[in-house]
Amino acid sequence: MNCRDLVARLDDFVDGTLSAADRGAVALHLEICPSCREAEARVRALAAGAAMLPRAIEPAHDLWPDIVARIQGDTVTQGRFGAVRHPRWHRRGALAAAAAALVVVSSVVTTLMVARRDAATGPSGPGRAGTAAGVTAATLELSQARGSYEAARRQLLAVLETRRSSLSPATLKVLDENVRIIDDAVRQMEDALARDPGNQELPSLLVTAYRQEIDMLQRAAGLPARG
Amino acid sequence: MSTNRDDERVLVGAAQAGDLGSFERLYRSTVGLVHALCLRMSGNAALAEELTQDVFVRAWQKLATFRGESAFATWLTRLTVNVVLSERRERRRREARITLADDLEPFAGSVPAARPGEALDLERAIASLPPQARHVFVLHDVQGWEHAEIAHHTGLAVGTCKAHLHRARRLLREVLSS
Repeated sequence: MNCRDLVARLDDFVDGTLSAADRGAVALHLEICPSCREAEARVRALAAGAAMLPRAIEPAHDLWPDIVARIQGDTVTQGRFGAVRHPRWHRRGALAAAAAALVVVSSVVTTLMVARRDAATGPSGPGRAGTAAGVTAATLELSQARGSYEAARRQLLAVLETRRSSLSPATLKVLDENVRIIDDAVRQMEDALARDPGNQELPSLLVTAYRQEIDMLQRAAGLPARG
Repeated sequence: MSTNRDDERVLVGAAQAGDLGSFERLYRSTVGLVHALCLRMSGNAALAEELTQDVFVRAWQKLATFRGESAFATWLTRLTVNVVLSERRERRRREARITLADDLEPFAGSVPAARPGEALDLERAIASLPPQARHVFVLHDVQGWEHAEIAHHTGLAVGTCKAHLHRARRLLREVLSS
């Protein structure tokens, strides 16, 4: 066996899938060839490094709200691998998608309000009671609204990013400041709701904040370019 | 969060009956595994998050087909591989129909930034591999699959899988030693 033959068999040798005869021939060559021994060591080191990589890497943010929204069929995503995946947005398409998401947010708000009104005026049915895992109708509906909000927000911010150079610095400053204020408010309310999950008022305040931000971003995305 | 097999069976049963709360607990216990596989196979962080979502939506839709013969994570891993490979095929079909001059997605910034030293170098190097070589390398050397199983899922011949693995290892050694 020469070095070329060994290279062709090295992966199977390292993986332990060579026939006994070939394995013996490779081992024999390795004993007399320092450069092939070095190549073998490097393949083994690479395979060991790969096997030791962490099996789990958490996503940068919680994907569950978007997943719930899709499961419930309340998002603008249509095809499994639709155009929304592509990072370069066609502005009109993205605006339409974001507008559709806004409609979804609005309908979820309505659903939330109706559910709350029903809960206040009549006995709660078994289908609306909390699940064994503690997921109540209100939290599920808030979760849906959050998923729609996050999807719409992402889409509109992507549109705005492509438009930044066409907007005046003063407009951008006001816009950025307001996004920051609403984001701060949303974060504070979400923190408060996490500390007090049974709070009856916070979900609707949160959804209102979602709507305000989406509304503002949608208006900003539709602003004419500076002249 | 981790669950033992009994807890898992209860959660899967409840989720199969339509309980989203139980499915969320299954999601919480497995999302890291799914996301890691999507990230390594796609080599793109944004795409990996979307694929992870696709996997769990698909898992919810197909949950009735899970019979508990393997661990839920094993079933989910196979589903993940199918979703990632399907997306890749779908995207290639789209790109064959529409040619965009600026359609090249950069790999920069597509791997986790807070991973130390050699592991991070290796993750970056894996992300830079050609797609099929990357898929085979991740499934074989990271996930520990046999070539026959990889061939079954990818539709490649076993010999072709071996050739991709050989190429991937060679390219990785070159990148890591440069």
